[in-house]
Formats: sequence, structure tokens, C-alpha cells
Amino acid sequence: MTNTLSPPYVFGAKIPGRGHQIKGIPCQDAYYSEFFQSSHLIIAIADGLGSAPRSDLGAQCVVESAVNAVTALMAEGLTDSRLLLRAGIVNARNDLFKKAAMEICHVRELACTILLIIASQDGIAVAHVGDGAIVVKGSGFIKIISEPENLEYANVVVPLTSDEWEKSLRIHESAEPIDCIAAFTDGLQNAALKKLNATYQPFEAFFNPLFSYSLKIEDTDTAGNDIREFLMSEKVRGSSDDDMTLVISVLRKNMDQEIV
Amino acid sequence: MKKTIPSSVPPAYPFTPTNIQTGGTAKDLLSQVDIAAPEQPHCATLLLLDTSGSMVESRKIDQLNEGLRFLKDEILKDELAASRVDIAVVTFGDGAVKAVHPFTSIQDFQPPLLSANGDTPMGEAILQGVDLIETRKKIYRDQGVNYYRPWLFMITDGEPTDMKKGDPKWAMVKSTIEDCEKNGKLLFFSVGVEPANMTLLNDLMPPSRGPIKLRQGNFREMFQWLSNSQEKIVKSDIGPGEMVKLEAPNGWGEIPAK
Repeated sequence: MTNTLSPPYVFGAKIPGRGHQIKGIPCQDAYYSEFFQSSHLIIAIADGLGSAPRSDLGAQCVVESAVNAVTALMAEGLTDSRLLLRAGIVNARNDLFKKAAMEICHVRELACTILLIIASQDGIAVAHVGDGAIVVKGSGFIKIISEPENLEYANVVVPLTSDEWEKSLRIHESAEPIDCIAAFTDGLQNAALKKLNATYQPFEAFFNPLFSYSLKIEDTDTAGNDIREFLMSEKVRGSSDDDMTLVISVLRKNMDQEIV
Repeated sequence: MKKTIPSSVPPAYPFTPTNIQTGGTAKDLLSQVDIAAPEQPHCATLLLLDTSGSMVESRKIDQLNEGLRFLKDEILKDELAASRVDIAVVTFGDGAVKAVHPFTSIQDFQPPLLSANGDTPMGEAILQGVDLIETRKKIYRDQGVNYYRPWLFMITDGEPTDMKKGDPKWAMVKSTIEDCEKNGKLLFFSVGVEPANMTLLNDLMPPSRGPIKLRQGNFREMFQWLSNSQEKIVKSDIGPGEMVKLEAPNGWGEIPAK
């Protein structure tokens, strides 16, 4: 127990979906994170659309662009989380268009979703375009802080490249202390969420052990490998044909949590 | 970070870690993760089939019956499609529209044995087909099941006997089809089998999706295309306003010039 990590820390993994592997398509998910002054953690994950042939490039572009834009603005002294998040998303979208020009392709070939998080011990703020979700654990609770977009059809998603991206943009903030965050792309939704009365809820038996594990890890490289192995297990991988990304961050830890 | 007023998020539920075995390594905890595995998303496909008297000629009704069994076998070959496709069958013939098979999973689908007789109440069949699909979508929503844009797949060898171009029924059916297309309520495909009135079908269908003329005897190939299309749908993800890219029906059908 004395070897477990002190927060804040972040780790994660992504795997290609079985459907993608069969078709020879690369994994179209991406994730990226940076610390700011060791007190704030900025995380982005993105899911390239299966119908967009270069969306793996798009996803990688947006996660780096969004996180780097936020950290740069924080370094200049900007503290308003809504402004930071919006700037991150807009920067990511602009970079997609630049990428399309460089690749000499239409920007829709790079289409992807994005989830952007700014977190610290004081709270969390997220911006979200498309599907996937963010679940957090606090003292005595687990809750979903950003749900997948609720469109009528299961295979339709609004990507950041769409003209409708702003209608899809959801920004949520929470000032209550958060212990752990789990952000994931839609490939993991079947495993991690249940749907009740048209709203999504975190599946307790998925997140309880996952967060308990996260509080007990000793190094993030090993933890990343563990998560990769976990995603590749028949139990998890069998729940969807799609690419999967899971990024976990621990912000706070109490002694009694470690005992639990 | 500036503290701001929390925006609305769904209510939390209590974290109850008491069932976790905590004594082992961290990785032991990971092995205890359980999977929600909620209901798969569903793709509802309603087959609207002409069973009027002329379908007896050239064994068309027999080929239709064989095609339904073939469709089931083909869809079941794909694991994902097998768990996501729902099928219903509505016939129009003998002056009546009959819901001969309700929506079920493809695994529970019992291909009916159809016989051909009488007139072609196509107008009424289209209206009832659209209603059945809307009802099915409501059931999905009530049960918290995600779904794809449903299909209404019509096969006819004639022309409607319950409406004529320009009469009130025709106007109602045409505006229903246009509304479904404009608002993305479902995907309506129509296939004309010789001697179907393709000109009339062309007038009925929306400009974006004209009727397809079945090449002589190509029922099996058409159902193969339908099975392949269902497989593409359940494995797709697209942006708003986009269509899933389907195979061209060249192998079994022709699209008349507008």
C-alpha cells in the first residue's frame, strides 16, 4: 500500500475494434493528456467516424490540439474553464481544417468526436461533441458527468467537423471534489453504461472495481498495460465491435479509500 | 480554476464498494469488473410484399417465399446482424392488407408461406407499414433500446388498385412518403417485378430514391443484397444527414432513368 502512487495521475489505453481489424482499418480512437503546474490535468479523447477514411489522423490531431491550446491559455493566465474549454474545442476544429488542407482531402474524411476535460482537486469541467462519456467518482457517489449525445439513430453521431457541431457541444462543470475520472469512447458504452428512462447511468459493477483498482496502482505504465489487457479481454471486447479507449485519472485519495 | 455554478448533471447514485474482494493485487480488482451489456441496438426492417393474383405467374410467389427463408439464413451468418436485425412482414393482396408476421428478432423470424390472389391495395399497405414502423420505434424508446433508421422494403409486380394518381388516397400516400424521407423517419425502398408499372412507382417514390426494377428471376440476388445491406447498417457510424454506403443493386436490379 505504501508503494501506491500519489495523485494526481492519469493512465489509459485504446484498442482497435474487432470490426476494424477484420476490415484492416486502423484504430480510429486517440487520447492525450498534460498536467498544468502539477495541479491541473487536461485530458482529451476522440473517436474517428468509421465512415471517414482518415479519421484516425483526425482523432489524433484534435486531442493534441485541444489539450495544447488549453495549457497554452492557462500559462497565459486564463482561468475561466468555459472559455478554456471552448477555446480548446475551436482550436481543435480549426486544426482539422488545416490538416485536411495538408492532406489534400475534404475535412469530412477526418471526422471525429471529442471529449475534453480540465480537472483538479477543486472540481472538473468538460466539453463534449458526439458520443462517448465521462463518469466520475466522489466521496460516496459515482455519476455520469457527460452523457453520449442523444440522437434518434444508433449509428448517427455529430462529429466536430459537422456544421452542426455547436448544437452538439455540451459543457458541464462541477465544483464538488472529485476523486477519480473515467473517460471513454462509445465502444465501451455497452459495457459501462445502462439506459434508464432515456438517460444513461453508470453501471455500478463496472466502475466500483475499476476505480478501486485505479486507487491501488503503483505505476502508470503498468496500469496502462493492465487497461489494455482489460479492454482486450473477451468479456469487454465482446461487448462491442468498435474501437475502445478508456482513460482514468485519480485526483484525490484518502487512506480509507485505499483500505476499501 | 475558477469555481463556477455547476450546470445540471444527472443525479448520482451511492457508491457501494462492499461487494468487491479487496485483499489481492490491484489487478485482481480489475478482474472483478462486470459488464452492463445492455440490449443491442436494433434495426427494424418491414417487408411490404405484393401477394396479388399476378404473383402466381412465373413462380414469383414461390421465389418470394424461398427468398424469405434465404434472407433469414444469410443474415444469421453475421453475428452482429443476427443480434440486431428485426423483421416484420406485411402483405397486400386479395383486396386486404395483412400483418402476417409481427416484428421479431431475425433469430425468431418464422418465414411465412405466402399465397397469391386478388387485387393490390398498395396505398393502404404503405400507410399501414409506416404506422407499424412508428409503433416499433416507440416500443424501442419505451424499452430504452437504441435503434437504427428503420427500413420499409416494398416488392410489387403491379400497380395499386386502391388509388389512382391524383386521387386523395394517392395524395395522402405520396405526402406520407415525402414526410418520411424529408424527416428521416425511415428508409423506403421499392422494387418493381415485371410487369410492375415502373412509371407509376417512379411518380410515387421520392426523387432521392427511385424504384429499382428487378432483373428477371433475380429474387435471391435481391435478398442477398438486402442481407448485405443490413450487415452494413448495423456496423456503420455516420454523421447527420449522411447515408450508409450500400452496394449498388447492379447485380440484380436497374434504376430507371428519371
